[in-house]
Amino acid sequence: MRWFRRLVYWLRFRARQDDLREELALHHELRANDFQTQGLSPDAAHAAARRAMGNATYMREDARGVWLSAGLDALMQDCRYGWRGLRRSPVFTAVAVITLALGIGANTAIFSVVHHLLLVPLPYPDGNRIVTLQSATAADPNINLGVSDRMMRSWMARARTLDEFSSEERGRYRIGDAEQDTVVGAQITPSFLPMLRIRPALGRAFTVDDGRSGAPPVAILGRGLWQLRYGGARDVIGKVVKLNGVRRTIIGVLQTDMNVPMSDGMTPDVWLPLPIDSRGPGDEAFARLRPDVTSDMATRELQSIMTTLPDSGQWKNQRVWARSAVDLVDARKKHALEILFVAVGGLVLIACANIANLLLMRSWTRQRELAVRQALGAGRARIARQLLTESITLALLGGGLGLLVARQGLRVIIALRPEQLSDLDGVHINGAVLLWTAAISLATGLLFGVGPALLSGGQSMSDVLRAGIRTAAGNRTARRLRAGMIVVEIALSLVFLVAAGLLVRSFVALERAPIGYDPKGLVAVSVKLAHEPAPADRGATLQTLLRSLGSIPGVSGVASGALPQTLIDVRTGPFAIEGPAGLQPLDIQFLGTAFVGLDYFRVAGVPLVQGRAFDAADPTRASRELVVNQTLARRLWPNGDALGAKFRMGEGVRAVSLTVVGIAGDLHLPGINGDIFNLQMYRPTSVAPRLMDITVLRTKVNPSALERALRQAVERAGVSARLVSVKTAQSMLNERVLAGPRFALVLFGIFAAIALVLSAVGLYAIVAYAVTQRTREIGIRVALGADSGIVARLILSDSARLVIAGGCIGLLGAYAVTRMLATFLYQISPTDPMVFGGAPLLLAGVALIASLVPMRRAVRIDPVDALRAD
Amino acid sequence: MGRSSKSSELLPGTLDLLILRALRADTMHGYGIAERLRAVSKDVLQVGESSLYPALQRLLLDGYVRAEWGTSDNNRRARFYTLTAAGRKQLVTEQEEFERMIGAIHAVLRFA
Repeated sequence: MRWFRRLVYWLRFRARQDDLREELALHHELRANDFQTQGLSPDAAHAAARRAMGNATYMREDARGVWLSAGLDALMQDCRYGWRGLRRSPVFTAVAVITLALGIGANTAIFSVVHHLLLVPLPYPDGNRIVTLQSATAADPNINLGVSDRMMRSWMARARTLDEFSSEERGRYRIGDAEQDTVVGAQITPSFLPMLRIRPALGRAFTVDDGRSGAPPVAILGRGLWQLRYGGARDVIGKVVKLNGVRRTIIGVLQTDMNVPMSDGMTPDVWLPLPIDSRGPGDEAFARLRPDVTSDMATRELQSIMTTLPDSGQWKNQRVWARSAVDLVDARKKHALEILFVAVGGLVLIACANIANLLLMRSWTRQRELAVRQALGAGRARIARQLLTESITLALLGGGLGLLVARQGLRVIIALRPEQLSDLDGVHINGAVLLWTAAISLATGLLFGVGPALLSGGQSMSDVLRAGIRTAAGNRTARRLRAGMIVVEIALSLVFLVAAGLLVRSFVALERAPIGYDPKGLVAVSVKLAHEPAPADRGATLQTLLRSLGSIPGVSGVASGALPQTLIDVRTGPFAIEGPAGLQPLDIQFLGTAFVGLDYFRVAGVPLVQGRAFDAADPTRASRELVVNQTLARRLWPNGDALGAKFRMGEGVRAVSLTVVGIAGDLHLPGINGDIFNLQMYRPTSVAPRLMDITVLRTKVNPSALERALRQAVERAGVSARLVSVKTAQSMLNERVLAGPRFALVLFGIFAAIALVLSAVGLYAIVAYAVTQRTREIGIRVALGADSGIVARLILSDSARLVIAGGCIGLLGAYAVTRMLATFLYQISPTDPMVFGGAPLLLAGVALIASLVPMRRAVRIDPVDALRAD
Repeated sequence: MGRSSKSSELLPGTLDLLILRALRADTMHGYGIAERLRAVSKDVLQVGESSLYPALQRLLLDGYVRAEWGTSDNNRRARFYTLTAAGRKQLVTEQEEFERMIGAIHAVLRFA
């Protein structure tokens, strides 16, 4: 019962406190009355009563100490006292809280992204044992070649590190009879759902028989589609759903809308059996790691199985991987996120150093106050605890505000994200990140709370009280500590400045880099035809469309084909040259192939350095013609006799012999490494596997103003086509080339700016503090004849020492750290002299400005005032 | 800045007993209790406010007394303390304990 009453008392703290105060007031009055009746004057009676009762505050504290345990009482007092102290110096509080909020906020935002991309495990039982199987060219692991049926079979038969092999292939399916209703469907092997450890909530999963040809068509519904189309009815099993015109019996419903691991993020609405005999490359292939096997071990085994295949020569330029979800975050992205993480860590460090410095200085200017408190009986531990409480209060305020900053920061990141970070959908500040923030802010509070608290015990209170505030300059250790922190801040800021500078230079270089064609005014128009025309009608359909688009005012040229460097097919070998000496096989496995219309080179502005484009008059002849890019021409015909040479693709009856009629200029995507499109050939649209539904056109008109005209022109063409999208070459380049670097640039620019501002504030504070501390000294110097130049030098030389020390350390640090950035820099060395020269200058400038204000105050010190004070 | 209660002239632990005893017959406010103890003890027992109020808080917490706001003789709002049933029982216990202790001390003083 006692604890319960205590709780009630504690909860009604204020009311109980008032009760007590009133009670004691009455007591005082009654006692004074008594004294008065004994003959004292009212005033004397009150004084006597007060004397008799003693210190009223102590009494109140003692009495309430009974129901409020002493520790709790002290804590609440500390909090109130800390809060009052913070409110008393709003500038200090604001600077400290904002500093913390920026540091913590940036950290939380970045951590949310990292958590989302790197740390979220797959939502399946033992999801981290699931691997995806991939193959790519040896030259560039980013060119995915898909896993062929043969590879899969050989692995299934022989791999001992993996089991539960399964495949999945994604597509859009028309549902029902309406043309425009489509759903995302996934064709899967029977092993797929068991591999994910998922069982249908209703009905059954696929069996091997479902995939055989001639088996009755079946489908499994995802939860969303089941709810949407069938209202979640349980008798849906056995009903028929029409997909791409095929009537399929529904045999099952999945509990959840589950996403396929490591896929593009589209959730399938409906699941179909993958036909057993039609499996080709391009599927997603999965397996589970056997116990105690790592994905690296599995990769090695798969690779070794490949080399033992009968015709292993065919695979020698191909690499295969088993990758788990974590590995799948590709190395470059991982590297980028790590850099971001390090950068944000540095930022938090600066923020902490700044806060610690502020608090240290504050604790010195408050030494007298603290000494007074000590004299009144506060123990050293008690004072340390109070400072700590104050720091933690600050840290929590900063952490709370930091969370808001993080939310906004996350919005900025999502708005600016480059394509590589496209799977940021659904990133949010989650519980783990919240805990992380709380931990940081608390640790920060402790970190900078402990310093002042420890040092506050350094001096004896009588010294402080006797000496007065002006000369109590703090001891040597403390001064060194503060100077050391400023040096660290300056050094870190310089590293940030250098990093940002390098990224700026790299970005400028990227923007100016030659790309091989003129993107200005080049627009790609995608259309969708209701029905794919018969091969014989393709030419006519295209011509109609092109004529209609070409008649739009402001359009100066139209040609079939995609924007340069987009939508290039990868053509697999074998390739050979038909020379005078006979057939000469080529050691090239893959060639980038673009299908382009007659006017393409002129319209797209891709220069034909030699020869001509395809034959306009004779489509049959054009279909045997070939335009190669300069690199391919040099590689195959180093003697410069490419024009007229014969080139052979494929083997056996499917072999095609082509004549080189032109050499096109090379195209570049600056900054994109491992570019398979280095070797490139162009072929006429007439030989493309399907109708070329993309057209480039050149215009002087703003493309957004053109969109309506384009839409109308497509409809006017009368080929039952509709406009799907309009994309300018510049926006394509922007997305693929510039967005990533710009993202890095903006982030690091913000980091550098924050770092610089924080260090400037820190430096300003330390110089201003020094001026306050040395007012008397300066006064004496001035009285003895020092002019303002000497005073200015006195102050500036101090801050210059700090800046130079920090600058030197920072340069060394930057030299060591910016190597990490090397892979993100375009044609700029990570030790670019211009950046390494310019950044310190900028830093020095900012430092000078930060020191000037307090310096001016020092110069204006009036010796008479300075010496008379105190 | 909690301070431990200043030691009164009383034997330790007897203040609670005296307060309970003073409240046995009557409901009183704090000042009244102090005055009653002083008057009854013929000015021997000066109960300091600095120990009286903490003691009252303690008794409240223990549930031995109850406090209510009421009006004092001179029409002032005052907080009146009343003995509870638990307080009555406690008074008996403490009184017995005290008498046992006093008896023991007497014995020692007389024969040791």
